[in-house]
Amino acid sequence: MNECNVYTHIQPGSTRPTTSNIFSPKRFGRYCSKQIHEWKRGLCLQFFSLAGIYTILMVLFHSTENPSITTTGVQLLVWFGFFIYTAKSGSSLAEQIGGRSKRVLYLTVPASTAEKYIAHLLWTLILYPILFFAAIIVAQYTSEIISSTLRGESFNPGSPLQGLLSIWNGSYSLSSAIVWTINNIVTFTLGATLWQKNSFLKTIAALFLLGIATIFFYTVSLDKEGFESLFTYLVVGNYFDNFKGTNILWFINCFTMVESVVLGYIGYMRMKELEINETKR
Amino acid sequence: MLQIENLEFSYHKKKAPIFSGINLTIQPGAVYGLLGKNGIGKSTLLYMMCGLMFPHRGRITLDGVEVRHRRPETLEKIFLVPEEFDLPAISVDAYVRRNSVFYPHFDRDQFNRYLADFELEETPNLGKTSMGQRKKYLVSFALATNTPLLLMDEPTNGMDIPSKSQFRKVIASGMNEQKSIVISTHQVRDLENMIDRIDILEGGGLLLDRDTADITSHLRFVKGAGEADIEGALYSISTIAGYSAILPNSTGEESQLDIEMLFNYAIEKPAEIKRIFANPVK
Repeated sequence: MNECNVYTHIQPGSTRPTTSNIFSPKRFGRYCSKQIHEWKRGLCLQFFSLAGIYTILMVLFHSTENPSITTTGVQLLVWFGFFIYTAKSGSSLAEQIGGRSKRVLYLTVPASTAEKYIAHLLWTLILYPILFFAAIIVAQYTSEIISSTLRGESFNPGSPLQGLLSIWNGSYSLSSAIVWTINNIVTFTLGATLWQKNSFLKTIAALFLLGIATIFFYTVSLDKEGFESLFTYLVVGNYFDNFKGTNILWFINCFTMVESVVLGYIGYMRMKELEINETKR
Repeated sequence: MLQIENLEFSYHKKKAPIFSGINLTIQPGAVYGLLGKNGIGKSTLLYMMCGLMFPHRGRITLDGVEVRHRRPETLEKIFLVPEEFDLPAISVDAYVRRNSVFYPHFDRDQFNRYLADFELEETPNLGKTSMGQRKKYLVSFALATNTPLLLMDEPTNGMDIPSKSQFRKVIASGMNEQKSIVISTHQVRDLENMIDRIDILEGGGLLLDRDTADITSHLRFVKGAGEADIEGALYSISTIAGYSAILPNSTGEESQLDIEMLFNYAIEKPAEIKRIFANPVK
Protein backbone atom coordinates (compact mmCIF):
# COMPACT_ATOMS: atom_id res chain seq x y z
CA MET A 1 0.00 0.00 0.00
CA ASN A 2 1.25 3.44 -0.86
CA GLU A 3 2.32 5.15 2.35
CA CYS A 4 0.24 8.22 1.58
CA ASN A 5 -2.87 6.09 1.33
CA VAL A 6 -2.50 4.79 4.85
CA TYR A 7 -4.77 7.48 6.27
CA THR A 8 -7.18 7.62 3.38
CA HIS A 9 -9.93 5.88 5.25
CA ILE A 10 -9.69 7.93 8.41
CA GLN A 11 -12.58 10.29 8.58
CA PRO A 12 -12.07 13.87 9.72
CA GLY A 13 -12.81 14.19 13.40
CA SER A 14 -11.92 10.58 14.16
CA THR A 15 -9.72 10.02 17.19
CA ARG A 16 -6.06 9.09 16.79
CA PRO A 17 -3.49 8.24 19.39
CA THR A 18 -1.94 11.48 20.59
CA THR A 19 1.72 12.06 19.80
CA SER A 20 4.14 14.40 21.47
CA ASN A 21 4.10 17.96 20.22
CA ILE A 22 7.79 18.37 21.01
CA PHE A 23 9.37 15.24 19.59
CA SER A 24 7.95 12.20 17.90
CA PRO A 25 10.48 9.74 16.39
CA LYS A 26 8.00 8.74 13.68
CA ARG A 27 7.31 12.32 12.63
CA PHE A 28 11.02 13.15 12.86
CA GLY A 29 11.79 10.24 10.54
CA ARG A 30 9.21 11.48 8.06
CA TYR A 31 10.63 14.97 8.21
CA CYS A 32 14.18 13.72 7.63
CA SER A 33 13.01 11.55 4.75
CA LYS A 34 11.23 14.53 3.17
CA GLN A 35 14.35 16.69 3.43
CA ILE A 36 16.69 14.07 2.02
CA HIS A 37 14.46 13.55 -0.98
CA GLU A 38 14.18 17.25 -1.63
CA TRP A 39 17.91 17.79 -1.34
CA LYS A 40 19.32 14.71 -3.02
CA ARG A 41 20.12 16.52 -6.27
CA GLY A 42 21.93 19.29 -4.39
CA LEU A 43 23.79 16.80 -2.22
CA CYS A 44 24.96 14.87 -5.30
CA LEU A 45 26.19 18.12 -6.82
CA GLN A 46 28.06 18.99 -3.63
CA PHE A 47 29.62 15.54 -3.50
CA PHE A 48 30.94 15.69 -7.05
CA SER A 49 32.14 19.29 -6.63
CA LEU A 50 34.08 18.41 -3.48
CA ALA A 51 35.51 15.26 -5.07
CA GLY A 52 36.56 17.28 -8.14
CA ILE A 53 38.22 20.09 -6.17
CA TYR A 54 40.13 17.73 -3.90
CA THR A 55 41.17 15.53 -6.82
CA ILE A 56 42.81 18.56 -8.43
CA LEU A 57 44.47 19.57 -5.15
CA MET A 58 45.77 16.06 -4.51
CA VAL A 59 47.15 15.82 -8.05
CA LEU A 60 48.94 19.15 -7.48
CA PHE A 61 50.33 17.96 -4.13
CA HIS A 62 51.33 14.59 -5.54
CA SER A 63 54.33 12.98 -3.90
CA THR A 64 56.34 10.27 -5.63
CA GLU A 65 56.98 8.38 -2.40
CA ASN A 66 53.71 8.50 -0.48
CA PRO A 67 50.01 8.86 -1.34
CA SER A 68 48.98 12.54 -1.67
CA ILE A 69 46.62 12.27 1.29
CA THR A 70 49.48 11.61 3.66
CA THR A 71 51.24 14.91 2.82
CA THR A 72 50.88 17.70 5.38
CA GLY A 73 49.74 20.20 2.74
CA VAL A 74 46.82 18.03 1.65
CA GLN A 75 45.89 17.20 5.23
CA LEU A 76 45.80 20.86 6.19
CA LEU A 77 43.68 21.61 3.11
CA VAL A 78 41.30 18.77 3.95
CA TRP A 79 40.79 19.89 7.54
CA PHE A 80 40.55 23.56 6.55
CA GLY A 81 38.00 22.58 3.91
CA PHE A 82 36.15 20.43 6.43
CA PHE A 83 35.69 23.29 8.89
CA ILE A 84 34.63 25.66 6.11
CA TYR A 85 32.24 23.04 4.75
CA THR A 86 30.62 22.30 8.12
CA ALA A 87 30.34 26.03 8.82
CA LYS A 88 28.69 26.53 5.42
CA SER A 89 26.34 23.62 6.07
CA GLY A 90 25.43 25.21 9.43
CA SER A 91 24.67 28.43 7.57
CA SER A 92 22.59 26.52 5.02
CA LEU A 93 19.63 26.82 7.37
CA ALA A 94 19.40 30.41 6.15
CA GLU A 95 18.55 29.09 2.67
CA GLN A 96 15.51 27.31 4.07
CA ILE A 97 14.23 30.21 6.13
CA GLY A 98 15.65 33.10 4.10
CA GLY A 99 13.11 34.07 1.47
CA ARG A 100 9.55 34.62 2.54
CA SER A 101 8.16 31.91 0.28
CA LYS A 102 10.69 29.34 1.51
CA ARG A 103 10.15 30.31 5.12
CA VAL A 104 6.38 29.86 4.78
CA LEU A 105 6.79 26.33 3.46
CA TYR A 106 9.43 25.51 6.09
CA LEU A 107 7.39 26.74 9.04
CA THR A 108 4.08 25.22 7.96
CA VAL A 109 5.37 21.65 7.72
CA PRO A 110 3.59 19.85 10.58
CA ALA A 111 6.71 19.02 12.58
CA SER A 112 7.80 20.66 15.82
CA THR A 113 10.51 23.32 15.95
CA ALA A 114 12.65 20.87 17.93
CA GLU A 115 12.34 18.26 15.18
CA LYS A 116 13.22 20.76 12.47
CA TYR A 117 16.16 22.10 14.46
CA ILE A 118 17.50 18.68 15.43
CA ALA A 119 17.16 17.52 11.83
CA HIS A 120 19.31 20.44 10.70
CA LEU A 121 21.97 19.74 13.36
CA LEU A 122 21.89 16.06 12.51
CA TRP A 123 22.52 16.74 8.83
CA THR A 124 25.38 19.07 9.55
CA LEU A 125 26.93 16.82 12.20
CA ILE A 126 26.52 13.49 10.46
CA LEU A 127 25.34 13.64 6.85
CA TYR A 128 27.56 16.47 5.62
CA PRO A 129 30.76 15.14 7.26
CA ILE A 130 30.04 11.67 5.77
CA LEU A 131 29.49 13.28 2.38
CA PHE A 132 32.69 15.32 2.77
CA PHE A 133 34.93 12.40 3.71
CA ALA A 134 33.34 10.16 1.08
CA ALA A 135 34.27 12.83 -1.47
CA ILE A 136 37.80 12.89 -0.04
CA ILE A 137 38.09 9.10 -0.47
CA VAL A 138 36.89 9.39 -4.07
CA ALA A 139 39.38 12.23 -4.63
CA GLN A 140 42.15 10.19 -2.98
CA TYR A 141 41.75 7.29 -5.40
CA THR A 142 40.93 9.38 -8.47
CA SER A 143 43.97 11.61 -7.94
CA GLU A 144 46.25 8.61 -7.61
CA ILE A 145 44.82 7.08 -10.80
CA ILE A 146 45.41 10.40 -12.63
CA SER A 147 48.89 10.88 -11.13
CA SER A 148 50.02 7.31 -11.86
CA THR A 149 48.70 7.53 -15.44
CA LEU A 150 50.24 10.95 -16.16
CA ARG A 151 53.60 10.24 -14.51
CA GLY A 152 53.84 6.57 -15.30
CA GLU A 153 54.28 5.67 -11.63
CA SER A 154 52.88 2.71 -9.78
CA PHE A 155 49.36 3.09 -8.40
CA ASN A 156 49.71 3.77 -4.66
CA PRO A 157 46.55 5.34 -3.22
CA GLY A 158 47.12 4.15 0.37
CA SER A 159 44.29 3.12 2.65
CA PRO A 160 41.10 5.27 2.73
CA LEU A 161 41.79 8.62 4.48
CA GLN A 162 45.25 7.33 5.38
CA GLY A 163 46.93 9.38 8.09
CA LEU A 164 44.26 12.06 8.03
CA LEU A 165 43.75 11.86 11.77
CA SER A 166 47.50 12.06 12.51
CA ILE A 167 47.26 15.86 12.55
CA TRP A 168 45.20 15.54 15.73
CA ASN A 169 47.81 13.43 17.55
CA GLY A 170 50.09 16.31 18.48
CA SER A 171 49.00 19.39 20.39
CA TYR A 172 45.37 18.77 19.63
CA SER A 173 43.36 15.66 20.30
CA LEU A 174 40.60 14.15 18.21
CA SER A 175 38.12 15.11 20.92
CA SER A 176 39.03 18.75 20.21
CA ALA A 177 38.26 18.23 16.53
CA ILE A 178 34.83 16.87 17.40
CA VAL A 179 34.09 19.59 19.96
CA TRP A 180 35.20 22.36 17.60
CA THR A 181 33.16 20.90 14.75
CA ILE A 182 30.05 20.91 16.94
CA ASN A 183 30.78 24.46 18.09
CA ASN A 184 31.41 25.53 14.51
CA ILE A 185 28.08 24.10 13.35
CA VAL A 186 26.06 25.50 16.24
CA THR A 187 27.63 28.95 15.87
CA PHE A 188 26.92 29.16 12.14
CA THR A 189 23.42 27.75 12.67
CA LEU A 190 22.76 30.54 15.15
CA GLY A 191 24.18 32.96 12.59
CA ALA A 192 21.66 31.62 10.07
CA THR A 193 18.79 32.37 12.44
CA LEU A 194 20.10 35.92 12.94
CA TRP A 195 20.98 36.80 9.34
CA GLN A 196 19.35 35.12 6.41
CA LYS A 197 21.19 37.07 3.71
CA ASN A 198 24.93 36.35 3.45
CA SER A 199 24.62 34.41 6.69
CA PHE A 200 28.03 32.73 6.36
CA LEU A 201 29.99 35.94 5.78
CA LYS A 202 28.06 37.88 8.41
CA THR A 203 28.73 35.18 11.01
CA ILE A 204 32.44 35.27 10.20
CA ALA A 205 32.38 39.08 10.46
CA ALA A 206 30.55 38.85 13.81
CA LEU A 207 33.09 36.34 15.17
CA PHE A 208 35.93 38.58 13.98
CA LEU A 209 34.40 41.61 15.68
CA LEU A 210 33.78 39.57 18.82
CA GLY A 211 37.45 38.60 18.85
CA ILE A 212 38.54 42.22 18.43
CA ALA A 213 36.15 43.28 21.21
CA THR A 214 37.51 40.59 23.55
CA ILE A 215 41.11 41.69 22.94
CA PHE A 216 40.07 45.32 23.40
CA PHE A 217 38.26 44.47 26.63
CA TYR A 218 41.27 42.73 28.17
CA THR A 219 43.61 45.47 26.95
CA VAL A 220 41.48 48.13 28.60
CA SER A 221 40.66 46.20 31.78
CA LEU A 222 44.23 45.10 32.47
CA ASP A 223 46.45 48.04 33.35
CA LYS A 224 50.25 48.11 33.05
CA GLU A 225 50.71 46.35 36.39
CA GLY A 226 48.20 43.71 35.44
CA PHE A 227 50.08 42.98 32.25
CA GLU A 228 53.38 42.87 34.11
CA SER A 229 52.04 40.43 36.69
CA LEU A 230 50.52 38.26 33.96
CA PHE A 231 53.81 38.31 32.09
CA THR A 232 55.67 37.47 35.31
CA TYR A 233 53.27 34.61 36.05
CA LEU A 234 53.40 33.11 32.58
CA VAL A 235 57.00 33.67 31.51
CA VAL A 236 59.20 34.49 34.50
CA GLY A 237 57.33 31.99 36.67
CA ASN A 238 58.09 29.37 34.04
CA TYR A 239 54.39 28.63 33.71
CA PHE A 240 54.88 27.32 30.19
CA ASP A 241 57.65 25.00 31.35
CA ASN A 242 55.27 23.33 33.79
CA PHE A 243 52.35 23.60 31.40
CA LYS A 244 50.29 20.43 30.94
CA GLY A 245 48.71 20.56 27.51
CA THR A 246 46.02 18.01 28.32
CA ASN A 247 44.72 20.07 31.25
CA ILE A 248 44.24 23.24 29.27
CA LEU A 249 42.81 21.24 26.35
CA TRP A 250 40.33 19.62 28.68
CA PHE A 251 39.35 23.03 29.99
CA ILE A 252 38.99 24.47 26.46
CA ASN A 253 36.92 21.48 25.35
CA CYS A 254 34.60 21.79 28.34
CA PHE A 255 34.25 25.53 27.82
CA THR A 256 33.56 25.00 24.11
CA MET A 257 30.92 22.36 24.86
CA VAL A 258 29.15 24.64 27.33
CA GLU A 259 29.33 27.46 24.78
CA SER A 260 27.88 25.13 22.12
CA VAL A 261 24.96 24.22 24.39
CA VAL A 262 24.25 27.89 25.11
CA LEU A 263 24.51 28.92 21.45
CA GLY A 264 22.43 25.91 20.42
CA TYR A 265 19.71 26.86 22.88
CA ILE A 266 19.68 30.48 21.65
CA GLY A 267 19.45 29.20 18.07
CA TYR A 268 16.51 26.96 19.03
CA MET A 269 14.70 29.83 20.74
CA ARG A 270 15.29 32.02 17.67
CA MET A 271 13.72 29.29 15.52
CA LYS A 272 10.73 29.06 17.84
CA GLU A 273 10.11 32.78 17.54
CA LEU A 274 10.74 32.91 13.81
CA GLU A 275 8.06 34.85 11.96
CA ILE A 276 7.25 35.91 8.44
CA ASN A 277 8.29 39.47 7.83
CA GLU A 278 5.64 40.91 5.57
CA THR A 279 7.56 44.14 5.07
CA LYS A 280 10.55 42.25 3.58
CA ARG A 281 10.02 40.16 0.48
CA MET B 1 -12.93 26.16 14.67
CA LEU B 2 -10.54 29.09 14.46
CA GLN B 3 -11.12 31.97 16.80
CA ILE B 4 -9.54 35.41 16.62
CA GLU B 5 -9.95 37.49 19.75
CA ASN B 6 -9.06 41.18 20.09
CA LEU B 7 -6.28 40.94 17.55
CA GLU B 8 -3.90 43.87 17.52
CA PHE B 9 -0.86 44.19 15.33
CA SER B 10 1.36 46.91 13.98
CA TYR B 11 4.47 46.83 11.80
CA HIS B 12 5.89 50.03 13.23
CA LYS B 13 5.29 51.48 16.66
CA LYS B 14 4.86 55.00 15.30
CA LYS B 15 2.49 54.06 12.49
CA ALA B 16 -1.20 53.26 12.71
CA PRO B 17 -1.86 49.61 13.62
CA ILE B 18 -2.67 47.18 10.84
CA PHE B 19 -5.22 45.48 13.10
CA SER B 20 -6.86 46.95 16.15
CA GLY B 21 -9.23 44.69 18.03
CA ILE B 22 -10.27 42.22 15.34
CA ASN B 23 -12.66 39.48 16.42
CA LEU B 24 -13.53 36.73 13.99
CA THR B 25 -14.68 33.13 14.14
CA ILE B 26 -14.07 30.76 11.25
CA GLN B 27 -16.72 28.06 11.35
CA PRO B 28 -16.50 24.72 9.55
CA GLY B 29 -18.48 24.17 6.39
CA ALA B 30 -18.04 27.60 4.83
CA VAL B 31 -15.87 29.36 2.29
CA TYR B 32 -14.78 32.77 3.54
CA GLY B 33 -13.76 35.56 1.18
CA LEU B 34 -11.25 37.83 2.86
CA LEU B 35 -11.29 41.08 0.92
CA GLY B 36 -9.41 44.32 1.25
CA LYS B 37 -7.34 46.86 -0.60
CA ASN B 38 -3.66 46.22 -1.35
CA GLY B 39 -1.52 46.47 1.78
CA ILE B 40 -4.47 46.41 4.17
CA GLY B 41 -3.19 43.25 5.89
CA LYS B 42 -4.98 40.33 4.22
CA SER B 43 -1.83 38.23 3.90
CA THR B 44 -0.72 39.27 7.38
CA LEU B 45 -4.02 38.05 8.81
CA LEU B 46 -3.69 34.73 6.97
CA TYR B 47 -0.14 34.29 8.25
CA MET B 48 -1.36 35.00 11.77
CA MET B 49 -4.14 32.45 11.37
CA CYS B 50 -1.56 29.72 10.78
CA GLY B 51 0.97 30.92 13.37
CA LEU B 52 3.54 32.34 10.98
CA MET B 53 3.17 35.79 12.52
CA PHE B 54 2.39 36.64 16.11
CA PRO B 55 -0.21 39.14 17.33
CA HIS B 56 0.98 41.96 19.53
CA ARG B 57 -2.21 41.66 21.55
CA GLY B 58 -5.08 39.23 21.54
CA ARG B 59 -4.92 35.60 20.52
CA ILE B 60 -5.74 33.22 17.73
CA THR B 61 -6.77 29.69 18.62
CA LEU B 62 -7.61 26.62 16.61
CA ASP B 63 -9.73 24.17 18.58
CA GLY B 64 -8.63 25.95 21.74
CA VAL B 65 -4.87 25.81 21.04
CA GLU B 66 -2.97 29.00 20.27
CA VAL B 67 -1.67 28.75 16.71
CA ARG B 68 1.45 30.81 17.47
CA HIS B 69 2.98 27.78 19.23
CA ARG B 70 3.02 26.01 15.84
CA ARG B 71 2.42 22.65 17.45
CA PRO B 72 2.42 19.77 14.97
CA GLU B 73 -1.14 18.85 16.02
CA THR B 74 -2.19 22.39 15.04
CA LEU B 75 -0.12 22.56 11.85
CA GLU B 76 -1.61 19.30 10.57
CA LYS B 77 -5.05 20.92 10.78
CA ILE B 78 -4.08 23.94 8.68
CA PHE B 79 -2.84 24.21 5.13
CA LEU B 80 -1.70 27.51 3.70
CA VAL B 81 -1.40 28.15 -0.02
CA PRO B 82 0.84 31.24 -0.09
CA GLU B 83 0.73 33.85 -2.82
CA GLU B 84 4.29 33.11 -3.91
CA PHE B 85 6.15 29.91 -3.23
CA ASP B 86 8.74 27.51 -4.59
CA LEU B 87 8.28 23.80 -4.89
CA PRO B 88 11.21 21.41 -4.64
CA ALA B 89 12.79 20.01 -7.80
CA ILE B 90 11.18 16.60 -7.41
CA SER B 91 8.36 14.75 -9.14
CA VAL B 92 4.71 15.22 -8.18
CA ASP B 93 4.60 11.65 -6.92
CA ALA B 94 7.68 12.14 -4.72
CA TYR B 95 6.28 15.42 -3.41
CA VAL B 96 2.99 13.78 -2.49
CA ARG B 97 4.67 10.75 -0.90
CA ARG B 98 6.99 12.88 1.23
CA ASN B 99 4.49 15.55 2.28
CA SER B 100 1.17 13.74 2.55
CA VAL B 101 2.40 11.70 5.53
CA PHE B 102 2.13 14.81 7.69
CA TYR B 103 -1.60 15.11 7.01
CA PRO B 104 -3.62 12.28 8.56
CA HIS B 105 -6.64 12.71 6.27
CA PHE B 106 -4.81 13.04 2.98
CA ASP B 107 -6.59 11.32 0.11
CA ARG B 108 -4.55 10.38 -2.96
CA ASP B 109 -7.62 9.64 -5.07
CA GLN B 110 -8.95 13.10 -4.37
CA PHE B 111 -5.60 14.57 -5.33
CA ASN B 112 -5.61 12.71 -8.65
CA ARG B 113 -9.15 13.90 -9.29
CA TYR B 114 -8.17 17.53 -8.70
CA LEU B 115 -5.18 17.14 -11.02
CA ALA B 116 -7.57 15.85 -13.67
CA ASP B 117 -9.93 18.78 -13.04
CA PHE B 118 -7.02 21.17 -13.54
CA GLU B 119 -5.91 19.18 -16.59
CA LEU B 120 -2.51 18.64 -14.98
CA GLU B 121 -0.15 15.75 -15.53
CA GLU B 122 2.26 14.25 -13.03
CA THR B 123 5.34 16.27 -13.92
CA PRO B 124 8.80 14.80 -13.16
CA ASN B 125 10.10 18.13 -11.82
CA LEU B 126 7.85 20.49 -9.89
CA GLY B 127 10.63 23.05 -9.70
CA LYS B 128 10.46 23.64 -13.45
CA THR B 129 6.73 24.35 -13.67
CA SER B 130 5.22 27.80 -14.23
CA MET B 131 3.76 29.80 -11.35
CA GLY B 132 0.19 29.06 -12.50
CA GLN B 133 0.89 25.34 -12.69
CA ARG B 134 2.63 25.32 -9.33
CA LYS B 135 -0.44 26.99 -7.84
CA LYS B 136 -2.71 24.35 -9.33
CA TYR B 137 -0.53 21.52 -8.00
CA LEU B 138 -0.45 23.06 -4.54
CA VAL B 139 -4.18 23.84 -4.48
CA SER B 140 -4.86 20.20 -5.47
CA PHE B 141 -2.55 18.97 -2.73
CA ALA B 142 -4.00 21.42 -0.21
CA LEU B 143 -7.57 20.27 -0.83
CA ALA B 144 -6.56 16.60 -0.74
CA THR B 145 -4.97 17.03 2.70
CA ASN B 146 -8.51 17.50 4.04
CA THR B 147 -7.28 19.82 6.76
CA PRO B 148 -10.14 21.41 8.68
CA LEU B 149 -8.77 24.85 7.81
CA LEU B 150 -7.47 25.78 4.38
CA LEU B 151 -6.03 29.24 3.86
CA MET B 152 -5.36 30.61 0.37
CA ASP B 153 -3.58 33.84 -0.35
CA GLU B 154 -4.43 35.23 -3.79
CA PRO B 155 -4.89 31.70 -5.16
CA THR B 156 -5.90 32.77 -8.65
CA ASN B 157 -2.88 35.03 -9.22
CA GLY B 158 -0.87 33.59 -12.08
CA MET B 159 -3.75 31.42 -13.28
CA ASP B 160 -5.11 31.86 -16.81
CA ILE B 161 -8.85 32.34 -17.47
CA PRO B 162 -9.74 28.63 -17.95
CA SER B 163 -7.77 27.78 -14.81
CA LYS B 164 -9.80 30.27 -12.78
CA SER B 165 -13.03 28.51 -13.65
CA GLN B 166 -11.36 25.14 -12.98
CA PHE B 167 -10.31 26.55 -9.62
CA ARG B 168 -13.93 27.36 -8.74
CA LYS B 169 -14.96 23.85 -9.73
CA VAL B 170 -12.18 22.25 -7.69
CA ILE B 171 -13.00 24.32 -4.60
CA ALA B 172 -16.67 23.43 -4.89
CA SER B 173 -15.93 19.71 -5.21
CA GLY B 174 -13.36 19.78 -2.39
CA MET B 175 -15.63 21.48 0.11
CA ASN B 176 -17.42 19.60 2.87
CA GLU B 177 -19.02 20.24 6.25
CA GLN B 178 -15.80 19.61 8.18
CA LYS B 179 -13.72 22.11 6.24
CA SER B 180 -13.48 25.84 6.24
CA ILE B 181 -11.67 27.68 3.49
CA VAL B 182 -10.46 31.26 3.77
CA ILE B 183 -9.57 32.87 0.46
CA SER B 184 -7.82 36.20 0.53
CA THR B 185 -7.93 38.13 -2.71
CA HIS B 186 -8.28 41.51 -4.28
CA GLN B 187 -9.55 39.90 -7.49
CA VAL B 188 -13.08 39.64 -6.16
CA ARG B 189 -14.61 38.49 -9.46
CA ASP B 190 -12.70 35.21 -9.11
CA LEU B 191 -14.72 34.39 -6.01
CA GLU B 192 -18.13 34.92 -7.58
CA ASN B 193 -20.63 32.15 -6.71
CA MET B 194 -18.08 30.46 -4.52
CA ILE B 195 -18.07 32.04 -1.10
CA ASP B 196 -20.49 31.74 1.78
CA ARG B 197 -19.22 34.57 3.90
CA ILE B 198 -17.57 37.89 3.16
CA ASP B 199 -15.03 39.58 5.39
CA ILE B 200 -13.84 43.02 4.38
CA LEU B 201 -10.74 44.41 6.07
CA GLU B 202 -10.58 48.17 6.32
CA GLY B 203 -9.06 50.70 8.69
CA GLY B 204 -7.53 48.16 11.04
CA GLY B 205 -10.71 46.20 11.57
CA LEU B 206 -13.37 44.09 9.93
CA LEU B 207 -15.73 46.41 8.14
CA LEU B 208 -18.01 43.57 7.20
CA ASP B 209 -18.27 39.97 8.41
CA ARG B 210 -21.50 38.52 7.03
CA ASP B 211 -22.99 35.53 5.22
CA THR B 212 -23.75 36.19 1.59
CA ALA B 213 -27.40 35.30 2.28
CA ASP B 214 -27.49 37.86 5.05
CA ILE B 215 -25.99 40.48 2.75
CA THR B 216 -28.53 39.87 0.01
CA SER B 217 -31.33 39.99 2.56
CA HIS B 218 -30.23 43.52 3.45
CA LEU B 219 -29.13 44.68 0.01
CA ARG B 220 -30.47 44.22 -3.51
CA PHE B 221 -28.05 44.13 -6.41
CA VAL B 222 -29.27 45.19 -9.84
CA LYS B 223 -27.52 45.16 -13.19
CA GLY B 224 -28.38 46.82 -16.50
CA ALA B 225 -31.09 48.90 -14.87
CA GLY B 226 -32.55 52.15 -16.10
CA GLU B 227 -32.22 55.44 -14.24
CA ALA B 228 -35.72 55.16 -12.80
CA ASP B 229 -35.03 51.68 -11.42
CA ILE B 230 -32.14 52.80 -9.29
CA GLU B 231 -33.88 55.57 -7.46
CA GLY B 232 -32.77 55.51 -3.82
CA ALA B 233 -29.67 53.47 -4.69
CA LEU B 234 -27.01 53.26 -2.01
CA TYR B 235 -24.37 52.89 -4.66
CA SER B 236 -24.48 52.94 -8.44
CA ILE B 237 -22.18 52.87 -11.43
CA SER B 238 -22.97 53.57 -15.03
CA THR B 239 -22.09 50.84 -17.52
CA ILE B 240 -22.69 50.39 -21.28
CA ALA B 241 -25.57 48.05 -20.48
CA GLY B 242 -27.18 50.51 -18.08
CA TYR B 243 -26.76 51.03 -14.36
CA SER B 244 -25.43 48.58 -11.83
CA ALA B 245 -26.54 49.47 -8.35
CA ILE B 246 -27.00 48.44 -4.76
CA LEU B 247 -30.37 49.20 -3.25
CA PRO B 248 -31.84 48.56 0.17
CA ASN B 249 -33.66 45.26 0.04
CA SER B 250 -37.00 46.39 1.42
CA THR B 251 -39.04 43.72 -0.39
CA GLY B 252 -36.96 40.70 0.60
CA GLU B 253 -36.43 39.96 -3.06
CA GLU B 254 -33.41 37.72 -3.75
CA SER B 255 -30.69 39.04 -6.02
CA GLN B 256 -27.34 37.89 -7.27
CA LEU B 257 -24.57 39.22 -5.03
CA ASP B 258 -22.05 41.35 -6.91
CA ILE B 259 -18.96 41.12 -4.70
CA GLU B 260 -17.00 43.75 -6.60
CA MET B 261 -19.78 46.29 -6.31
CA LEU B 262 -20.31 45.47 -2.64
CA PHE B 263 -16.59 45.84 -1.98
CA ASN B 264 -16.42 49.20 -3.75
CA TYR B 265 -19.48 50.40 -1.85
CA ALA B 266 -18.04 49.25 1.48
CA ILE B 267 -14.72 50.97 0.86
CA GLU B 268 -16.39 54.16 -0.37
CA LYS B 269 -19.02 54.38 2.36
CA PRO B 270 -17.83 52.37 5.36
CA ALA B 271 -20.11 54.18 7.81
CA GLU B 272 -23.19 53.26 5.77
CA ILE B 273 -22.18 49.61 5.60
CA LYS B 274 -21.66 49.57 9.36
CA ARG B 275 -25.06 51.17 9.91
CA ILE B 276 -26.88 48.75 7.60
CA PHE B 277 -25.36 45.70 9.23
CA ALA B 278 -25.36 47.04 12.77
CA ASN B 279 -28.22 44.77 13.80
CA PRO B 280 -27.26 41.29 14.84
CA VAL B 281 -27.89 38.48 12.36
CA LYS B 282 -31.36 37.00 12.70
